[in-house]
Amino acid sequence: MDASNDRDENLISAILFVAIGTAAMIIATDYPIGSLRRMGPGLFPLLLGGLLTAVGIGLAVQSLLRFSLPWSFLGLPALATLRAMFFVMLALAAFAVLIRPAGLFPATAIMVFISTRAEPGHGIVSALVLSFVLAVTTALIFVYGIGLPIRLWP
Amino acid sequence: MDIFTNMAIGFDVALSPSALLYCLLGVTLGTFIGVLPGIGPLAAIGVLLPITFHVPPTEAIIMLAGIYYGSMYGGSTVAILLNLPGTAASAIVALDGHAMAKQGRAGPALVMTTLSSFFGGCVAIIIVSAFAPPLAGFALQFQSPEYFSLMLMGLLAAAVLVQGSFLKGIGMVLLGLLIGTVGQESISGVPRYTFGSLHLYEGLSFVVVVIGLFGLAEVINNLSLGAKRERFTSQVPWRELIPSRKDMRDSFMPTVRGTGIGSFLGVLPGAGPAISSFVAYAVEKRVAADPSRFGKGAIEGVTAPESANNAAAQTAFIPTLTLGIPGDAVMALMLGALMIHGLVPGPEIVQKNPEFFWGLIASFWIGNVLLLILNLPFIGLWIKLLSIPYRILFPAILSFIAIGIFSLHRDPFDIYLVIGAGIAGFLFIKLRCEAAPLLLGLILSPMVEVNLRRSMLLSRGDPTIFLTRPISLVFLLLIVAMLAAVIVASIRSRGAGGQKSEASQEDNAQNVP
Amino acid sequence: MKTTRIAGAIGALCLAGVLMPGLAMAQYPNREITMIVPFGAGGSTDIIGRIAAQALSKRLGVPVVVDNRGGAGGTVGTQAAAGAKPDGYTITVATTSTHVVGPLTVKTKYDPVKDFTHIGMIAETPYVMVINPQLKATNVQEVIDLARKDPGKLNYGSAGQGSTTHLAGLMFLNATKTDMEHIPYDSNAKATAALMGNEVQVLFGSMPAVLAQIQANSIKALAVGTTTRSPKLKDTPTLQEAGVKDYRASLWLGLSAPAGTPPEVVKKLADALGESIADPAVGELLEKNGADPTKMSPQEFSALIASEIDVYGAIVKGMKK
Repeated sequence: MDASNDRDENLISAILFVAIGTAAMIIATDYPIGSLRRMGPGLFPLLLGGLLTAVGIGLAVQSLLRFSLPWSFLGLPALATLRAMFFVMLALAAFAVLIRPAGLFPATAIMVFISTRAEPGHGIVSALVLSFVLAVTTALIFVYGIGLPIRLWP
Repeated sequence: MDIFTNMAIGFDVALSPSALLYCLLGVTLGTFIGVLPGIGPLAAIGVLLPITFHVPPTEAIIMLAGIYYGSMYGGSTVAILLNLPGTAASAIVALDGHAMAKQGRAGPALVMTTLSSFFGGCVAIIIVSAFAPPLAGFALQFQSPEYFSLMLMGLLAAAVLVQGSFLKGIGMVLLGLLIGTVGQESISGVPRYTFGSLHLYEGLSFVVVVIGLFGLAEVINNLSLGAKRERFTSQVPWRELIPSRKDMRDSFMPTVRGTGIGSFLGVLPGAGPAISSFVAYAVEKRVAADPSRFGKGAIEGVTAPESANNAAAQTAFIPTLTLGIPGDAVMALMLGALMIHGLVPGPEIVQKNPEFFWGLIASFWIGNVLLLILNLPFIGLWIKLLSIPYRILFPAILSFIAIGIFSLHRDPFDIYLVIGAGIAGFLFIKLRCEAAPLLLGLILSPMVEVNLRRSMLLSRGDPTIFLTRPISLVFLLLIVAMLAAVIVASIRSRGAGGQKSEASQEDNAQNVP
Repeated sequence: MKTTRIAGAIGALCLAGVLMPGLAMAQYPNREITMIVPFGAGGSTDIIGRIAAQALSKRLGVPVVVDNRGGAGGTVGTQAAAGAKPDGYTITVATTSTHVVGPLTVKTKYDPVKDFTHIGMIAETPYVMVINPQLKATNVQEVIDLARKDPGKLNYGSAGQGSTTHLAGLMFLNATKTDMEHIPYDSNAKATAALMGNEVQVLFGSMPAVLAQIQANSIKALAVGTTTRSPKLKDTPTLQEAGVKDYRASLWLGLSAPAGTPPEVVKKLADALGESIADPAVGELLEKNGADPTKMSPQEFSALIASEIDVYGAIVKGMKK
């Protein structure tokens, strides 16, 4: 990697800051602004959004001034990244969906099983074993050890 | 009464078998709960609070204090080993601590963490026992304008500590402040940025954000690196657990400075302890001969914030006990525990309940010693965690994250938030936007806002109030000095053509996380 | 130590008493109960809520966990309580601010009468008019004179916009035709600290939050808001005695559950609360914290809330000119 990459990162960060800052300002106009003496709930977020936008613009100018090459960052993320991201998110989402109806033990086991798909290397058997072991371990620690009031089973 | 008589009273209480037992119980439970991600000091105390109802008041508070710093210590351990911080302070320690762990230097990092927090704790205890009443008086000098300027300085310090572009650091601080405004506003109750969702009324919980931005993002990043992923050293010989003489030498002054900063800031309820480790880190980066080492395993980046954090944790008891003002949620819980036992905090607590007050102080010290004894042998065990193959470790990390987060409010919505924060955190890693400054913005946001609004009310709308009050002015001048230093440094590096070499150096290090 | 042991023994007895019929009867309570305290931790409502929570926990045999949800004069947490499942596992501390003043001054989504099943009173606490010792005044009249000489120069603190302490201040300004700037804080503890630091000069503070500081002489008590003197501050006059006509403001705290909570659950909670308040150990704790334990049945407590809404409603309406 070289300095051009650094610029691209800064430029993308700048766009992110400007986008979030502007959105925050637009939404903040819905809240009462008040006066300098009696500030309303809208003034502080408006101020922050404005500053963030300004910082974003500053960052963009700074990186554009240092002549930029095409964005190397936007080259497609490797398949591995997408796969990892997908399964990790899916695993956690499964836990969130299952924890209430199914209880801690099944939710943890299913989450662990899905998460093992995030990268090659786990056979089905080893994944199942890991799911079982971790579900038992976490149940022991959190429910029996610390005594968190979470149901184990449906 | 002099300090020695006081401490004699204190040790008399704290060295009684029952007090020792509860202290040991507290630090042990605290350490083990603290290493679980998502369960920080607050949750640990919350969970264990009911146990203390059946214990006499002094022992109860000794045990709670033990849980408090035990869990902070456990939190630092897991932050260093797995980059899973649970508090803002441990997020700072993780910056360099985790980098050290990746270089196979987890042992020295953990030992130095233990030693520097011990040092910070001990010095702060002496300060507490000698100067509690005058320091409480000093804390009262801090009113809304002073707090606002202090926090502004802390936020700037957080922006300075990032590598690369300073503007990015500022941007991340602002982003954190903005995220902190989500939820029902505290003065008028107007809901902001909730998009009609009731789940967001109480704002984004700090633990959710920190676990997502650091822990989850780290997992995704590690997985995406696949085979290129750093392998942790599988076998660490005992000899390598011990810090080198150089580590010790490099850590000494930073620890002293960190302790000073932490002891001072800890006295200021709320804002102080939160910003102490950020300020300590920023100071070290400023005084270092080669600031570019920071973020890549600089030992000062571990010991200074750790000692500051632990020192602040001790001095934070001063306003809590003598003024009855809890600094943060943890202190508020402690205060509640006191009240339940009929001990009313206030200026007279020292005179009215000397055994309690000095017993607690002495127990701080004993607790720190116990922590030292307890943790040094455990370090070898903790490091064994790293020899677990990642394909087994990461599903385990995910389950601890999921359960820890769910246990906060028992609301599955928090897990969706963690997913969102995790994606954002991964994006930040890719964009090399450091997330630590965002955390400080998030914590301080409500305090910055109410103190700003209150200051303007007090001055009847005149913004010069921040310049006309001496303490506030001092902080503003420090801010100007910091900005000037940043600008000078950037001009100098551009002039010397250092920009490019610095950037490429960063690349090497940044691929590691 | 001794009291703790006695309290523990009483607790154990009560635990046994609750557990035995519990086996035969419905299973309530069989898990932890959440007690929402709609104010920041460390404030007076929090302290008294925690004392009640601990006493209830001993009698019900399950943990009663305090959940601090401060903000907007206590209406944020109360809103959460109103929307909770009416199964007896979520109860809330109901106070003058959450169930009378809040709904009158802040736009609340809950109805303090219709959305709750009231359980009973815990305690009542007077407001104390306290000043920073640097203020050149020794009695209420001198504060009034200072405020008249320089309208809008003095600051008075409160525990939040539209909080009862704010209203107690407004009542004073209204009755004395004076003008002071209102500076809101987010808890009684923070407002008291601001008074000690002279950021505000006057505070109508709740007794539990200011008592320790008054006794330590770091702030000065000028008068109490109740119509009779408080036993804790025998030498401090009431505001009426000090010449402020018709002034009467006190803060009461009780327990409420979401509307629709089953009557047998309410009865169990009310009985446990009644026993707790009658317990001398609990009473002593409450009094140490500046609150007078007061027993009220669910019916009496509901009636009190309804009548206070009328009284304060008239005052708030008069102030909104």
